[in-house]
Amino acid sequence: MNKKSSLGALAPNVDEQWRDDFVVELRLQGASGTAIADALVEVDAHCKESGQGVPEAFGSAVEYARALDLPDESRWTAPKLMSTWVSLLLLAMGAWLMIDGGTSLALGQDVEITLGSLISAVATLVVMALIFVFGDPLVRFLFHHVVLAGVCFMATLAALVGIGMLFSGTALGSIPAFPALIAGIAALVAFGVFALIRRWTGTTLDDPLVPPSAATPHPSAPRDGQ
Amino acid sequence: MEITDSWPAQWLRGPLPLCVLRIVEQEAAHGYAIVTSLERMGLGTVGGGTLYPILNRLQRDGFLTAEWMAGEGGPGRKVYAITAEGTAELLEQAELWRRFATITGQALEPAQTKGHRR
Repeated sequence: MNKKSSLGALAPNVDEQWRDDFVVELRLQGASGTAIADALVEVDAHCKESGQGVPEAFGSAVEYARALDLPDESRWTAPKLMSTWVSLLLLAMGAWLMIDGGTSLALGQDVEITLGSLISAVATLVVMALIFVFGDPLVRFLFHHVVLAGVCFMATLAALVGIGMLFSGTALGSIPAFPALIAGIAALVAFGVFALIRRWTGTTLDDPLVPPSAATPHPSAPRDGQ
Repeated sequence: MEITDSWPAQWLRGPLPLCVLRIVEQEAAHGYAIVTSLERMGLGTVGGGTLYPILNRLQRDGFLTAEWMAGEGGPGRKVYAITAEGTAELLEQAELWRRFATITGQALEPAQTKGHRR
């Protein structure tokens, strides 16, 4: 079951757009998956019982999410961000070394390190750092301006590639192809192992919406408004 | 605050949490049951967008507990019950509110005759 259908199963009586806006806003506030699911199911139950539509009963999804003032249980702590950062570096470095190393080995030459590739690598690191620093506003922007976000992403990618090509003629040095290829494979293996360790130790950023588990009906059934 | 019907929203902002505590003190109830009880009290229609943040706050302050109970052929219901701290808070604040309401009621009484006020 994908995310959208699982959200729909949690709150079938809630308008899809309202529901998505609500969940995103609570995520940005750092609410846990359990707390978000709890709040969403309560909205759904109220709409079902009252017969009201969700905007009529609860108003704006974003304003309601803010009014709830759920505790910030953000999983985006510094150690977890750093481990995600290290994962991404291993992946990026591994891919680059493996591709360049493999290509150079096939051509019978060393892997050339140019000023362009160095600047591209530094620029990529800077962009990744900015994404972590400006995470919240950036996610809001991406969610509410998908097309513009896509254009900005492509423009950034083109700029990084352009920088690399601009300075590709300036060679700074070279490394032997076979060690580069091995280093690339090792980095990718390390990425995979690191990802598995993070999953086993629960230090990933995953925080699924877990619906509340209802107890058996209470012996003295509560009043239901009649 | 999307409270509809009779009363200005800013009038209800103060006593509404106390009225919610009073309802739950009489019997544990879920959100929609509290809404209908508030209507029966004459306080108008309180929307979910107003009620549930109040319930959350009361729960966070330790005046209410909440438990999910299986619904009858529908979604589960989150049922709120008052705690001992909630009962004490209700007793204290309700008394203060009654005194406040008496004072404001007297303050709003029209003057009987001219010349009484010096």
